[in-house]
Amino acid sequence: MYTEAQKQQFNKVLTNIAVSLDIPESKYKEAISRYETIGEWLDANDSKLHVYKPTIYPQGSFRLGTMVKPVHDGDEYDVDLVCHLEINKDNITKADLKKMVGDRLKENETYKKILKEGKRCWTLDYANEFHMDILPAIPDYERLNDCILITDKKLIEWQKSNPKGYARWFADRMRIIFNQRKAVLAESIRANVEEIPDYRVRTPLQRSIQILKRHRDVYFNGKNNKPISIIITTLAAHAYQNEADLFQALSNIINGMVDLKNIKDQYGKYYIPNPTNLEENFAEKWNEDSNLPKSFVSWLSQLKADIEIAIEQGDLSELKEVFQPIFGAGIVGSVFEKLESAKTTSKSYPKIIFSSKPDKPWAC
Amino acid sequence: MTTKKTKGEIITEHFKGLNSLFRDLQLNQNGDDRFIVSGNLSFTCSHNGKTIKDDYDIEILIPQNYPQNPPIVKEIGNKIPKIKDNHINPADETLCLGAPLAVKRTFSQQRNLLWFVREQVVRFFFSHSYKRDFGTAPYGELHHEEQGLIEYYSDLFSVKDVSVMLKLLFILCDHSNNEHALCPCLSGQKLKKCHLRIFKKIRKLQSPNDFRKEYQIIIGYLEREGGEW
Repeated sequence: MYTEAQKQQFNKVLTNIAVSLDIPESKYKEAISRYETIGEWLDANDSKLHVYKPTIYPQGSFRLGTMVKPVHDGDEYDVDLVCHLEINKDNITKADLKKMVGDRLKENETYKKILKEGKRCWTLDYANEFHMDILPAIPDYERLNDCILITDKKLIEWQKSNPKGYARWFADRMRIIFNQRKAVLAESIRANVEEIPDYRVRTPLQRSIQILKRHRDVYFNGKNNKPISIIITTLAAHAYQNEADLFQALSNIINGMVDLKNIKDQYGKYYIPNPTNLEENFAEKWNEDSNLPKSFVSWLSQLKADIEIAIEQGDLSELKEVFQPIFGAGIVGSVFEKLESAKTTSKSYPKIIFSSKPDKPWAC
Repeated sequence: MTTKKTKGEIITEHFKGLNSLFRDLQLNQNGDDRFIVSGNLSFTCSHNGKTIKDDYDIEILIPQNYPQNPPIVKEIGNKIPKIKDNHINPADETLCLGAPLAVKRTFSQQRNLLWFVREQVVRFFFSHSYKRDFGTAPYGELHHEEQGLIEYYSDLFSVKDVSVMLKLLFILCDHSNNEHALCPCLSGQKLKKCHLRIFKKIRKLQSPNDFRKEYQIIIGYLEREGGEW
């Protein structure tokens, strides 16, 4: 069992760890300005893509607010982008779509130097900053609602996707608490809710996912069969019930994820559908390689055990001992340094209201 | 049947209550097994629209007969010069929180450390900071020594004449009194309808002997001064 004080301490430390996993706001804004510049280059008047009205928008953790700092210092943040061109699928091949985007990027001297080719996307490597993965896509006119078609890795088939729809589903899963937090934040800085950008608000769901991903990154560091982020994010968002308390949210999410029976379909196959496209199964590979679900389960049970030990720690130094190996000594060390210096500098001066009649001071 | 708590248990429990508000204080035991609370006392208080945020390093000595008697307090951070004008006894550097009976009286409302420190110790330091910053003591001050005692008892008995105050105080130097005698305050009422009410309250707080000591201090002073009383 744990006390209220232990829970508060746990929440405070874990929130601080999650905050330090966040992409710093300056980097976040820089990433946006970088991809907007890419968008302008692709859509410039002399660009061959101009007629297809190219747009660039983020997807994945950058869009969801669940990014985590890379485990190795100096490693770059991954920013996943969609490059959307208005072309009908009948009028272009997958290979041509990919080539068109790559050709235009190569026409820029700066981009040419840092461009790398992936199986289905182009990566701009900003050293020590970002890996920007640019995934060419076209509209899915059969489904609309921001549905897109992207190429598979063999450039043979169109795959259905919907990053914007997924982000809307994800936002809906935490709508209540998100709105509450945003209102509180707005009030605390005397601003209107509309003036607060979404990235300033982080819910216990987003924080929990960051913690899960970080734990995974450290646990699987140098090992195979690391669970993919989209599976963690989807299962966590399903399990989340708008808990306001981080520990409660994290515990419920972990308990909700542990039971693999819930993620099998009627034929006993692993099935974690994209909520906005039930045909897309994020766990497709689990059915081909049984090591994947196995390592997912053993990782989750380790995480569950780690959290159960952490919540019962009495003081900060004990909690530090528990967290350092599981989240990384560097990041945990600096969080505790910050917490301990805050403790000494933020001396409290309790407000006293007397309730007795004053005695006049005297001297004997 | 509940077992009686030991003195150490009572003090530890009271300290917990104190520590919940004043976080930078610690409880220790010295060589003679006396309990001492020490550390930094920080507070924010307002009076007449003026706010004081201050802190003092203190030592609170818990007496053997705690919680019957209130603790004794020292300022150990050298923030207050140890002179009588600052209501500090230069001999042992203890704070004069008020006239002895006044301190016991306030303490008797709730005999625990949180109450004592909040209502009496913080009040004392707040008065000091306030006077230092704004020039006047927020709740007034007593004169030093005997003159202060005279003021205190005159005030307590609501009498102006020092000789009347002394007659009343003299009654307290004994265990009992004639309830039906006329009250020395010349109200024309019997004692039991007049000052006996306040006597009953304060007799619980100190012994006739304590009153006699104070009575004698005042008499000695008045004789030295050669005043009329």
